Amino acid sequence: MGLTSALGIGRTALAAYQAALQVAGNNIANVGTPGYTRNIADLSAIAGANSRVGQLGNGVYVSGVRRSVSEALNARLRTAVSDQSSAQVETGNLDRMEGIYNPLGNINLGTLMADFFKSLGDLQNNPEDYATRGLVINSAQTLVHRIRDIRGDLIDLHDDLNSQVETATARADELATQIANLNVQITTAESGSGGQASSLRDRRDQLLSELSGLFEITVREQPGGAVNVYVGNESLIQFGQSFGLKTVRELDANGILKSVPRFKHNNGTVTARSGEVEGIINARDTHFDNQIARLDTLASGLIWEINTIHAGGTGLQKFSNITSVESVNDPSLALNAADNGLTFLPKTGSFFIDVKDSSGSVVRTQINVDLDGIGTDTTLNSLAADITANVSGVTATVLADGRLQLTANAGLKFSFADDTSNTLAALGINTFFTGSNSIDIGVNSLVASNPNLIAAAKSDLAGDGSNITAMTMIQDTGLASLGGVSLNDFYTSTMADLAVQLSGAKSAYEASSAIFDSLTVQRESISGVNLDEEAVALMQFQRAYEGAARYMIVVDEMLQTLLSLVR
Amino acid sequence: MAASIGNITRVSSSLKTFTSLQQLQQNAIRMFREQERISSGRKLLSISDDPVTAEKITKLMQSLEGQDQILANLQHADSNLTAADSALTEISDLLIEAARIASEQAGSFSSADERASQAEIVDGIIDALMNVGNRSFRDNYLFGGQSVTTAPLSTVFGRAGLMGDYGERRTVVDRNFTSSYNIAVGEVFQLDGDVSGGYADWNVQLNLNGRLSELNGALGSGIRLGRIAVTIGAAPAVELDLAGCGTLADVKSKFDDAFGGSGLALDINPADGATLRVVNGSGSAIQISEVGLGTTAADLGLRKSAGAGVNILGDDLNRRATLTTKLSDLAPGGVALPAGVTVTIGQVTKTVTFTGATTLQDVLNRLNGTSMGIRASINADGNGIEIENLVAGTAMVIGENGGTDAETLGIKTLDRGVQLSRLNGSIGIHPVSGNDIRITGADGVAFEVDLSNAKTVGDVIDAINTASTAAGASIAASTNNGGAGFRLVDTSGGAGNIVVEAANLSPVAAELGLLKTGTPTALEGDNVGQFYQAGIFSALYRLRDGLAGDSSVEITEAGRQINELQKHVAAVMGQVGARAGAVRSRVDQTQDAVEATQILLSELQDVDFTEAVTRFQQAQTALQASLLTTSQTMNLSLLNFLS
Repeated sequence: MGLTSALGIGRTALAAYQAALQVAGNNIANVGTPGYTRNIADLSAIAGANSRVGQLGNGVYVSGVRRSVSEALNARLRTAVSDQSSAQVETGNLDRMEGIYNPLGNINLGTLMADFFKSLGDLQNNPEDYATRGLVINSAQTLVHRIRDIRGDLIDLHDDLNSQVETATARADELATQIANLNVQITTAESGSGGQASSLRDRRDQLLSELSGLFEITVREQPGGAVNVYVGNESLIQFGQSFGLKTVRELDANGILKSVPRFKHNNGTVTARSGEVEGIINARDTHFDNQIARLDTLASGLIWEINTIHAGGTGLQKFSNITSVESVNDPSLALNAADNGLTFLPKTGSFFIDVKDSSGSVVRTQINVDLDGIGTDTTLNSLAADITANVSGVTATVLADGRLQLTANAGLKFSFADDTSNTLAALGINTFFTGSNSIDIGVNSLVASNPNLIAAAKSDLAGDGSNITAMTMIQDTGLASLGGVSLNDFYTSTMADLAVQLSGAKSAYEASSAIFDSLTVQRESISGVNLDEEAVALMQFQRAYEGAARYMIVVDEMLQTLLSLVR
Repeated sequence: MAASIGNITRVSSSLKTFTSLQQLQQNAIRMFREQERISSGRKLLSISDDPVTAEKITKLMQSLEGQDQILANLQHADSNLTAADSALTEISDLLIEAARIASEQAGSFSSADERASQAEIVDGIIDALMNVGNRSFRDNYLFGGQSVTTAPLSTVFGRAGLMGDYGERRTVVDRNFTSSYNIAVGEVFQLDGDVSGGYADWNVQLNLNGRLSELNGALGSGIRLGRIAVTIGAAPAVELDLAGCGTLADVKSKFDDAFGGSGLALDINPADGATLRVVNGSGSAIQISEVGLGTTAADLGLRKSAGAGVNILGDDLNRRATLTTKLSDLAPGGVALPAGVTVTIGQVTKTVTFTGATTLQDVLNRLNGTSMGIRASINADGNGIEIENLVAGTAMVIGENGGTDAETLGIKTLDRGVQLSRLNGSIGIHPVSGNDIRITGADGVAFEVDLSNAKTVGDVIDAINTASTAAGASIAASTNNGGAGFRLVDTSGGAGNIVVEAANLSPVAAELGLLKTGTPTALEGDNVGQFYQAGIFSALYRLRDGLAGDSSVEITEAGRQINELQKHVAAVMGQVGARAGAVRSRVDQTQDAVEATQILLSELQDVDFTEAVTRFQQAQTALQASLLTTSQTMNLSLLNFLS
């Protein structure tokens, strides 16, 4: 080897360590960059020519700049990100549901129900008292408003969840486009240099991580550096092409609009098994639907059970006329026909109409309702005809809109008693509540405007609170409309259900967070920049650089010495 | 929760930052939660913190609300019973005063003037008792029954008239358990001691449209609807579910629908109108039986079998009369009320007709609409009408108005079923040893009657008729159309008059109102069966009238009644006291339960401040440690040593 060659060795060393110093410097510069993967400069000896004494080296070169990364760990991390995002968003939305119910607060649905029944209890003791009747109306209206508010808040949450699905899906679509573009850039960059396009890959890893937070994805790296991305079993990104994601709004079985993610290119269903979108959809389609259903059941049970008792009682005042709140679609169809418009169905039985004249004499008439499906069943038309024909002084008319109107002759008043058929409650005659569930529950405007119409009694006597007593008892009595549990127990189980779901979601979030954290620690352990390490590397490369420079000085001196011989 | 470090080989700068931030966040959250617990005083910040405890809290809160309501109910009941107890003490004191007057004046030493002056004192006692009876408590009449806004007593025909009802006011005193907390004026003054009427034992006919709940059922336990099994010939039994039926028409509809094709039909037995019948046109033997432990077939009176071509004839279902029961259903063939009845209170008589009446309620409305101080209602057994005389110390008579309507309705005041002890203002009759009355017919045939064993009006009538027949006389006894006396009819065609005399110096002929001479065909007895309201006011009016009329007999009888009524009031006071005691005991129990629930709730719900503050301090210390270690570790770097 000649001295010129020896100079070449020094040159390679200077170049290599300068490059290595650059890599270390870049690592230091990116110590705070999220998602940055530490680069390592791989130094290799340059093979020399064979000589008599063996092979002498030709110096050193940077054979490559390597990213310190574990793709398997990154894949696990992406799954952990999906799971954590899913659990987090589910927890957050369940938290919002808890906030809506506020079960541990001083005023909540449970306490308002208790207040309502307490007011009924007070009325039982003072059925003749107008002020106490007014308090019943007030507490009922407060309860009704709370139920409707809860439903409204839940619906707002539902709308928000739809928006969240749309926003998250739009973001995922954007990320998919960016990743597809990066695929192209990485492939191009790496095919030219032969090395890894570290910063592009880091950027892609970051985007993949963000995408996995929205949808659980599967990433397959292809030769050339591109990655294909799958959501469920469907391909989202193929090399430089994103098939795109979108949302569509569809009506579910209950007629509620729901935003669902779809693939843009074929409108195919996106199966979100984990990730933020899955968490949102789960919160919406499982927890929201469950809470709405339970709220509806509670409201429906309250309406029906109170009304069936109320309709068979009498207030301090009687009616000179009354029109049913509910209407039938076809007055010639059986009252309990499935498609006849009544939410609550009457059954075979009977009720009494008591007609009172100005002297105080009462004439009671029994009205039979036959709904056994055998022979001719009772229709609204036949019911009206029966009442008109048999109840002296009262005319029943079926209105054009399918409601029933009862009108007493001048000087007469009427009331109702002992309805074993539930017809009055089903039609909304002499009822306390209106509506069918939490959407439309209300206090009957007739009663609300005249509390003396609250049917506290089963008789004509002012101090009779027996009907109210029966109403107070339903809060702790198993009810068929609630599957055999009482109103109180149903509310408790609803809150317990929410508590268990929320607790479960929180546990899942904590578990997924622990996995995520653990994997993050591992990733950072492998890919993170350690300033001390880089400082050591800096010193090492600096010293090596200094050594190479010194070596070149030595060679130079040797050259000078050699040249001086020539002089 | 801190991240699991695991087996890592190197620590990057970002890892230090990550773990430091994690620690800081977790410690800050922990401290914030403890701060929230301390400031809110609640152990649970979210139901998800401890779902089981949260559920317990919800249940306990519900329980507490329920107990609060029960406590309010009990206190309401207690205050009413306490007020009643106080009023009853006043009534008792007034009765003691009345009893003293009766006792003092019953002897023969008092002059008429003295008695007259005492009568005025009794008037004052009556007024005072009426005031107590009409006592108002919290704007309600304390003894008004369920008619709390109407004074339960008022003056009718110059006497105390009962306006209140006997309705119970009940309140929930335990979960799904109610208790009565009032006492009606009728009970206080024992105005409910006796009623008139109810003498007709109606055989109420079945009606397909009538409610099943009106039927006592063949077993006397009502109709318990369930499944029955019907076997026709050798075919397997077919079950029929009768649940949900409301009327006999519903039962018939289901039965005929199920078995009509096999030749069976259910109807009301036309032979008696009170039973069901299964018409067997199947050509085979049939059997109706229960399914499992059911009782439906037996309740319907149809748990029977019959041979081929033979009908199953059910048992009597004992339908009770209700307000809506039609007059046409009261008896086989129905009842007709063409003539009406007369209602007499004191000296005032009104005629009540039933023209156009179709139901029992129409009849009751006509009777109650007379404004005569009577109250008619269907008796508890549902087989008769009972009449209350609402006016104290005043005779009530319901008689015929030229027909037999009163007897048909079972409301004629003097009926066969009336106890003789009720006659003569509850003085009754006093038979002697041997025969009591001697009756001579228009044909001169005479006979004597021994009434020492007679208990009822019917016994008297039967004894007279038996003796008449035995003697070959043509005298027949009955109650008269006026409604309160006896009547003797002679069909002998003799020319003499019917004569009734006392036998063996017995007072019975006079006590039966028969000590007189009639016509050759009839002898109308005097009114001896007028119906008087029982109770305190009648006794006091009797005392007053006895004092004013200087009648030792009446004063003595009134005194006896007042003494009895004192026992009654004492018993009522005892009942009220017992109920008040029970209520107070429940109040104590409920208060204890409330306290126990509150303690339990507090244990579950309220934060333990010592524990919370300690935890807060721990969190604070941990946060400080995190801040310190973060500060230290982040400051350490080899770069500091590079020159």
